[in-house]
Amino acid sequence: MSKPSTNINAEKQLIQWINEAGMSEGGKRAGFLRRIVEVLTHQLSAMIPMYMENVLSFVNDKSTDIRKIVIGFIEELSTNFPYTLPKVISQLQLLVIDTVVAVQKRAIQAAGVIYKNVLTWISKDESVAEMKHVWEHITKTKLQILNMIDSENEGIRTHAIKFLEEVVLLQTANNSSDFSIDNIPNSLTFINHAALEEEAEHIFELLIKFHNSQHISSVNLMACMATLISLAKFRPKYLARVIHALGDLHTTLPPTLSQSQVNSVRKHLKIQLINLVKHTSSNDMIPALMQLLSDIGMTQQEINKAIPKEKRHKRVLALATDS
Amino acid sequence: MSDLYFAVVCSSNMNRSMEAHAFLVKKGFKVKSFGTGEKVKLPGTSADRPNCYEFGVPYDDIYKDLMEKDKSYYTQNGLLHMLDRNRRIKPSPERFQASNEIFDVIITCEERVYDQVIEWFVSRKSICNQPVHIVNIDIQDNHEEATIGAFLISDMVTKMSQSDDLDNDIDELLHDFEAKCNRPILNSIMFY
Repeated sequence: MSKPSTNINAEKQLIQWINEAGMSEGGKRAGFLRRIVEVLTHQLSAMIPMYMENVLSFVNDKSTDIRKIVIGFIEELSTNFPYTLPKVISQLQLLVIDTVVAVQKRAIQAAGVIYKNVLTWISKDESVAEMKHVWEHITKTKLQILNMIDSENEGIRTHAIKFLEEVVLLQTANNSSDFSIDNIPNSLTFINHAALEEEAEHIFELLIKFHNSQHISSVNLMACMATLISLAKFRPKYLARVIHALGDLHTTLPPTLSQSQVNSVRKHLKIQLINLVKHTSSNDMIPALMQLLSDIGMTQQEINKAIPKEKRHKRVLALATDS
Repeated sequence: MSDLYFAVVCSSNMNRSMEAHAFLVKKGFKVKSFGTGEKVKLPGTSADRPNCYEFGVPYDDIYKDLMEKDKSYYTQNGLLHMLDRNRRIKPSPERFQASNEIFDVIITCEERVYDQVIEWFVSRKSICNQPVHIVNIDIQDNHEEATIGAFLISDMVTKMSQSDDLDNDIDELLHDFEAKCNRPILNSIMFY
């Protein structure tokens, strides 16, 4: 069978599913929608402009599952078909403030990926008006999520922390091959590089404050700790402040934690720190990290085992030079 | 029944994780099981000579291998019975670190396994930012404890599934569960 006729058949099938999705309810409707998204994003991607609205129109569906499928669709479009961003970005903004927590969380999760995709698209595309439109929407979405770090729902907080990690990474210049703000051309007048870096700094401070607050849940404490260590790893300018915050945490753990939660948090800290000392970005802070590892109860032997040989040698050399 | 996706992980994906896997499947949960060790290790005829296999070698092949090596010994110590049970659940032991699947909750059966799961997450960069709860409950690696462990895990999984919003409830849920089962629980959150 030739390819065009296969596509014609697939399109017929797609139209049938679109019609059936419109007429069915609940799980059946979700099933049709999943199939529509699958075929549209993989087999019939050339027809996305023609049929994407048929999926996006379910953004207000009463089913939580269906709204989550729409979010997955928007995320997929932003990754593989970024030209659709101007059409889908406003929907994301709605979904982030959905009335159902599960939908909100899925939207925040997608927003981290979409934010990166928006910046990447902006650095390559040429239609300034469309880029500006998308940028304005994603900026509003970002601010909405930023405020969710104070949400009463722990899961929304968790998702917001992870999203903010992505934002700080993207809005901080770096020397690696990772995409970040320095890949965006200075010629785009609606993007203020300095303001974005300043915002990243502000968010980083906010995360530090959240991490060291006395009323944080153990799960979010661990999520935030992982985020800070990730920022220290990939943006070494934060390393010293992260080590300081982890040291503060070790001495003043939130009083609300149970003994098992304290054990979990301390173990989490230890595993994260051991991973950090192995990372190249920590080279300049090995003495401070060794001190912290000792403070959390690791023996010298354990510390020596955790720190790669060449780093220990560097430290010995540095100490010899200092003296 | 919620649509939470669970993973149960022990060292060799033979005894503790498979006992729980079998139990949870019967109750209708969406579950997979794994091991985190380098190899699948089973006791041999002497303590210093364990039977080692690669992950992916079918339970059926291991069954036949042990039967050939010493049928009466491995029948008596229950390994053949365990392998027979395992091969009815899935083809072969799977290594957690080789899995590409995304779970909502990962339950480990031993602190060392819990550490290995967390180390695996810590050593890689998250891609889709989807959180996963990792919970450890210590279960000794023998038949009786594996049976008790499967009951406890099933109890915990049932409570998790009854929650409308696990991310919001997990701290309290595990705190209550710990008090009830009288075993220390470790938990953490990681991201895919």
